[in-house]
Amino acid sequence: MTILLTPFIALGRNVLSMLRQAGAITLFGLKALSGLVRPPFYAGVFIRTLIEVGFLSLPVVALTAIFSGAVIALQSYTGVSHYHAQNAIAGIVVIAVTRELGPVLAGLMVAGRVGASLSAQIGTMRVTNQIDALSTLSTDPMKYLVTPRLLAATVALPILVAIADILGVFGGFTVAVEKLKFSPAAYMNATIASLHTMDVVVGLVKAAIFGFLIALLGCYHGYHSKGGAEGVGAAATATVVSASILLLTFDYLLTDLFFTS
Amino acid sequence: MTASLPRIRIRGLKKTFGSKVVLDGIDLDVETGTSTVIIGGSGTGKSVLLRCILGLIEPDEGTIEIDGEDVLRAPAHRQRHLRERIGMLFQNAALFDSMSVLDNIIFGLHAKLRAKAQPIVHSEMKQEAINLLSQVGLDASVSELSPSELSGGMQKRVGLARAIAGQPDILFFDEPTTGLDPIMGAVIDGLIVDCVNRLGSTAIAITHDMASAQRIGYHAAMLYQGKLIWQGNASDLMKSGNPIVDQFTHGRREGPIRTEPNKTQTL
Repeated sequence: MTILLTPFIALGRNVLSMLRQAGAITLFGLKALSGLVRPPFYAGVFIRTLIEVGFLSLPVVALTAIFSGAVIALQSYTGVSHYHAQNAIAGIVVIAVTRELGPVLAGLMVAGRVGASLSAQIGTMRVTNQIDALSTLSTDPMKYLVTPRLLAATVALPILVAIADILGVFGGFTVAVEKLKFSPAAYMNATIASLHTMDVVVGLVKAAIFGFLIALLGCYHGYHSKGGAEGVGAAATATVVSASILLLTFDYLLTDLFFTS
Repeated sequence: MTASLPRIRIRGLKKTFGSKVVLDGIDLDVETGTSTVIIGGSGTGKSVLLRCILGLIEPDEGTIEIDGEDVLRAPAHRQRHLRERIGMLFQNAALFDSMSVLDNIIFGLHAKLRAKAQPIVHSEMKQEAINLLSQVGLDASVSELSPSELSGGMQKRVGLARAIAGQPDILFFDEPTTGLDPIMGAVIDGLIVDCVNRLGSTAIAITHDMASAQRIGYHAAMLYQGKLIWQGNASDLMKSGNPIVDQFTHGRREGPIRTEPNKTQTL
């Protein structure tokens, strides 16, 4: 009987552990957010993180966006040409980029690049007692390390996604005009006709939520890392994996919320 | 006549991690303006004791009073205020590796001024930080280096400069000479004594370096199996009359402290 129950016990234990961690991450996030309304404010840390998350992620996000837009144009051409609906390509590209590819791919790139970096930075500070040193210097580590990073990532990702949207459409335009021999003016007109404010705004809202989640998980795992270099590495890995999964889960939930009706 | 209140008074302090009892009813008084050294083997809870006083670890039981005020039961703002009076030199110096040497010290100056709600005059900060560097025997040429470019001894000096930046009433030193050669260890101990005397601070140092303990400490105590088993003058450390303390201070393999794993505490 016990043997039969073992898998269920293990499953239950894992579910409880996940719920416990979800609760801990939520409380961690709320505590960090409370730092937004209590001085002192660390503008320097905010600006440095804004540059790290936004400006320094720009090349990787830009390349991803351009090639994604280009691939969508190519793939949709092979699909819709069977139905003689090539004119729909511009619309497919702009909707795919603004609604999904822009925020999701930028989010995944930032999760890999910045999430791991935030986690490693804070994790190293934890295992080398730098976080304890902050406490002994009358500085709240949550307010100094976590709050500005959460805010910076939440602001930076929508800016990155706005740029990614433009570059993704540009990638599709380039392939359509140069390779598929579309008329530039006709393609642009079709793009503008298919571009809806709601698509762009929802994409940017998604980006802000993704930025917040990436920074939250990076800071949480780094802040709670243990055991030296191995612990810091484990925290960075946990950040990238959990941020990627959570990002795709939230993408579905937000898409369902905004677009299903 | 009433006895003067100790600056730090600890009573019945207990802390366990899982099934491991690390601190088992610690009683300790540290008089104002004196230096107390706590000795003990690795993993005996010396750092945990300091971290409990600093509020970095919450003890399970007991009281910690600073100037008669119970830190553990005080409102959060009072706890912050009491702990703002403490400066700490960490074992690995714990310098902020994203900042230069000078910025590490300026951070210490800023933090304490902010805590005291005093105005921060940026132009004065740099000169003040350079003065602090000179107080710990470093010149301004190291100020723009990053901590990773410094030797262990220099990192300890910068850590000390940062710890004393706010002119704290109380100073803690966690293994100040660990990882240093004997000469550099003596230099750091000398700087610590100078700083403590100059500031008139009350100090607690934890160490398992006997030479360091006798240089820094006026009082001494030994932590063993979660308890303070001996307290006395630091000058009596090598002739305490306690077999456990004597074995530890003389570094003998034979004695009441077992060095085999899984029997009793290891050194």
